Amino acid sequence: MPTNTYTALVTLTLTSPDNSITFSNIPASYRDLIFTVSHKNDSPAGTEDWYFRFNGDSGSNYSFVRMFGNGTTATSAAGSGTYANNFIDDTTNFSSYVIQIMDYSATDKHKTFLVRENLATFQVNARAGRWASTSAINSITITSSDFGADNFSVGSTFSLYGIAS
Amino acid sequence: MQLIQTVTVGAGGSAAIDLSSIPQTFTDLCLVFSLRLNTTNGGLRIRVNGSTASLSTRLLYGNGSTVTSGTDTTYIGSVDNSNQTANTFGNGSLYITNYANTSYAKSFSADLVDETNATTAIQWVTAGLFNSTTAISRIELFGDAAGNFVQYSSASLYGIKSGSDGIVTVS
Repeated sequence: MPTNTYTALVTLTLTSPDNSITFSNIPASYRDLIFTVSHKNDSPAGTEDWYFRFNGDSGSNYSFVRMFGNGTTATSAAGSGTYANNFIDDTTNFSSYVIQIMDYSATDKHKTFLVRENLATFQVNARAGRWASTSAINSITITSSDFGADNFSVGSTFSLYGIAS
Repeated sequence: MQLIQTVTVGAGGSAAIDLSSIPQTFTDLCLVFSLRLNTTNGGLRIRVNGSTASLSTRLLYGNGSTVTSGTDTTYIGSVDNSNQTANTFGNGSLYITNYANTSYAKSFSADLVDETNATTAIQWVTAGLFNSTTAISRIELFGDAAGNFVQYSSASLYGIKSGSDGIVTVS
């Protein structure tokens, strides 16, 4: 029997729209986390943003650098703020994200993460981020655009995996 | 993550890397590959379920001096070609979420690099969409130009199964 490298921790498929989801009680027994998301939103505006935070931290403790392309222009940007920066989705197609959080349970370092964001009808992104905290990550909260004004649509899926060292 | 199948190209080369009869029992797929083409064009394309229909990609790539964005249907990036350093293979990975879903279209990401002992190599970051509610049961990679993948090119397909450990909660 091959060793399972991805240990499934939790998965959620929305059966009704929701604008904020929290994954709690994340055990500290793994080395890294992989968070995969496939979703769309119900915003009348179409393409919208969504965000995530660790351990409910709403302080200005998040920073990022990213590069993205919209099919015409390639851009690089950096910034900081009160959330792990805005990601994109729209109302028509499910976008897909793979978020890798390294050493999430370490208590001697800030937490870094890599994100690949894919919405082929709009934009492709590669992002690196940092949460400036030495606390082990025990929860992840994701919130739809405008901090809850719009919803993640039915059928959106969110899955968390632990990677053992 | 569980290995589903591995394809390794033999001495005669192969026009395509073909991963078929993909079981529908996982949540996501991850395809990792190490490829070299015997043509001067290292462009790499994808077919799903035996067809190039319903596919679109949005690309971001850099060559060490310039970064560019573009769009295509089946083009996902480039791997090593016959002009590049001998015995060198481009590599990459492709991740498909909810590949077996029969209600929605499927989004995927691809990250590739062609590598060579020279000043020009290309790194690709690609978003893709298979705009069909049909589950994915076959994936093929093939060259942009007529030609073959050379011997020792390989690809491995892994399945990732979501679930619960009974500890993490959702609210």
